[in-house]
Amino acid sequence: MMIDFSKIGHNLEDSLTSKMLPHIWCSGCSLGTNLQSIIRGILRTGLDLDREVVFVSGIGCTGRASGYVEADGFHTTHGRAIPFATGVKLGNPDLEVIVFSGDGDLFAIGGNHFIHACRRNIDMTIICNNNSTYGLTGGQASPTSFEKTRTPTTVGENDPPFNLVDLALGAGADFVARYTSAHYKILPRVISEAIKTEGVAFIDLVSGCPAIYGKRNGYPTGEYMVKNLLEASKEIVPDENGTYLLPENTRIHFDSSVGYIRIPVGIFRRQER
Amino acid sequence: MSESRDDKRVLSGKHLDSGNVAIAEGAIAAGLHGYFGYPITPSSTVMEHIASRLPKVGGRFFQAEDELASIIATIGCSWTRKKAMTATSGPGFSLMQEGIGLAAFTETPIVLANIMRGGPSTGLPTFPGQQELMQAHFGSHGDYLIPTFAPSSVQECFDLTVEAFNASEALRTPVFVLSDQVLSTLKERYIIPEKLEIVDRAKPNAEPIVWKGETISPEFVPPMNCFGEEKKAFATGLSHDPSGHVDLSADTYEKLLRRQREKILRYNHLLPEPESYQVEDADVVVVAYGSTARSAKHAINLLRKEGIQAGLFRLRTIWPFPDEALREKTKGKEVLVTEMSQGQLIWPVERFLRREVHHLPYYRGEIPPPSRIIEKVKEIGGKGK
Amino acid sequence: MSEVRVQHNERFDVFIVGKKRNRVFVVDRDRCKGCRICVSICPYNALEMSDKKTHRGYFYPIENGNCTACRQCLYACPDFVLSIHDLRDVTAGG
Ligand SMILES: Cc1ncc(C[n+]2csc(CCOP(=O)(O)OP(=O)(O)O)c2C)c(N)n1
Ligand code: SF4
Ligand code: SF4
Ligand code: SF4
Ligand SMILES: [Mg+2]
Repeated sequence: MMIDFSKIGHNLEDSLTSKMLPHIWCSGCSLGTNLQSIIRGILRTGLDLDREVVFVSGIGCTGRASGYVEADGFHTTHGRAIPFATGVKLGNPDLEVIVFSGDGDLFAIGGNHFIHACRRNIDMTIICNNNSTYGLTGGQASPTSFEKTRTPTTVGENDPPFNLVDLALGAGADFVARYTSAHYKILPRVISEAIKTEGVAFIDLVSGCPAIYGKRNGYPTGEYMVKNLLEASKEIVPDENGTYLLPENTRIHFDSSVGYIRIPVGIFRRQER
Repeated sequence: MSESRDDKRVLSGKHLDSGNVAIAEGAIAAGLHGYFGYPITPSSTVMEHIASRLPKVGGRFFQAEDELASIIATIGCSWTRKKAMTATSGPGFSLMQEGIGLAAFTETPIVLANIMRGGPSTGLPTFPGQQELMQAHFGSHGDYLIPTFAPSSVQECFDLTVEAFNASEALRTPVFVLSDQVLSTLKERYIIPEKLEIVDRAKPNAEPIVWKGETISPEFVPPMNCFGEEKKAFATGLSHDPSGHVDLSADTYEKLLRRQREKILRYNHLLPEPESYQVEDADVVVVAYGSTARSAKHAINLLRKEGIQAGLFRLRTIWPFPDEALREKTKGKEVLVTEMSQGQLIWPVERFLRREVHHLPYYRGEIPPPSRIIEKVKEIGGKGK
Repeated sequence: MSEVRVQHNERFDVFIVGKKRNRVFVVDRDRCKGCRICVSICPYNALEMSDKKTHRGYFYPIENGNCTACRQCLYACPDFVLSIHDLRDVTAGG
């Protein structure tokens, strides 16, 4: 049987901006896997990627994602993906907006917009590619870098990181989940549920930057990182008295000699209807 | 205003109101859909008027958490093919600068009204200034050219806001309306005409649009493909190819920057023209804009009564600078620039005339009084008959 | 069967896979960055790294006949390299 190579292409090729690939991300980086999980999540909702979805990102390695998806999209300035998405929603509420951006973008320079988005609860899905570093600018410390890790701007003396799940719960997001880039099997289901949520849905997508932060802090390759993320993950199952929501229970533990130690994952809040 | 009148977009007829209300009404008449703002004196009344009026005509009002958000949300709204604007003053204009560059580079039609107060920093929140003329041109990093209009009466606050929306749609560009604190509260009669020319941005694969009788070339102003429409719409603040995708090559970047400047310069003649008042026989021409020009005009009338031949060249479009008109109208004449600043308007005037001119900088949180202008004109040597 | 199980062109490697040999496993060599994630997560040990490099300088995965078309490596690959198609959808004249 002769293969007709003109019929060969990636299963998701129609959803990708082919001329921009290969993408700029490093070998083994979580970003490509996450982008694929997000596309699969969108397709799962039955939305028309081309006509009904706007994919918004900020600046950073993650920021480049909007340029690789065959959805309408915008690569904003650093930190401003959420206000852009807000403007889109006021212009045309029928559009489904998805914000995909980095931990620095969403929680340092853009942190104020995040809490206000949660407060207003305008319908949007916010996914943080949380690699605990400023990947694009060379691995400097971010608001989710772990204590006692090495970056070009800290010598093992970081300030404590944000617990993004705790932050989103406190700010009032309607849907709050955390998984890791290694959860590509279940992520499309979680992402489609987030998209279907009517208010703000937030996913802390714990990810790695193996080329820079990982190299210095215990997970030097993508291959190691995927195993590490899966092994360290622990699904949190809600109990009646809600103790699973306590910050101690949702905090990520990390050690710069071996990488992730414990990552509480799960869906921590669902919109009450 | 009766309820039913309030529900109409264009409130044709005579009104007595402030410059800020006229800006708000101009925006609504021009087809504003989304307003995004953050309170700051003396611009807040634009926002307050829009907050009460816009929802009644089907638009959306949004109070943002800061100016960083309001400028970017304005851009986001525009990408849904809806007309969008924000208004601010001094400190807010500074915070918006990064977003302004993004709007220029992604060729997003938006209107930004900056109601100038005295600066720098928190400066004189409730008193006028004219210290953001250069910021309107060079405030964001990188090269770009944003059409900037300056009203000098309540009527012009309305008219130039309509013009600003039309220019932004026709040329796919942000446009600034530079007003000031004096105009913001000054109440005057103004008229909203029965008929207004309203321009909507070009669509891909459609007839080119016509503005003021002129066809806008899609080669210079590429039709905007917006969100939710047939083709993928994508834009980035990085250098990009005609499809909007990242392309950092030298040729693409150079071509892009060149076209973005040329599209404004090519249609320069469609932007609001300067007013020349009694310049023909003038020995001294005063160059001014905004509320300062009102004082200058008064001074000229008084000087003329004394038989001193003075005239006024009043800018209505500041950027791109009306250099040809200025050269023509001031040929062989003494020139006096007056402004509420230590010296901003004087820069383009001297640069485009290629000679030194007289200057009356006035920065006391009020417009230069006519007496000072009269004094200065006499000092320069405005001759009596 | 006398069919050729592995076919290539300048960009793709195509392997006929599955218990019924009715699927193809596709490697887009042009996009691969050699991270080995696919190799290490495959539950059937169906992938090995090449000993030659792509024109971009990366080793890439080669399917060894054990692939069951479970798709896990497709989802894990960060570079949109790997795909599974039905054989009949991608054969000449098919
Ligand atoms: C106003 C501004 N400040 C700083 C930068 C430089 N900068 C680019 S990306 C980035 C941080 C990116 O970190 P993150 O958002 O976590 O994204 P990642 O690269 O890790 O995906 C910074 C500081 C910028 N582009 N704009
Ligand atoms: S620098 Fe880090 S985050 Fe950025 S692409 Fe490389 S591995 Fe990924
Ligand atoms: S996971 Fe993808 S990029 Fe990495 S080696 Fe395998 S095919 Fe190549
Ligand atoms: S599809 Fe499944 S069995 Fe085949 S190579 Fe990939 S992971 Fe292994
Ligand atoms: Mg990061």
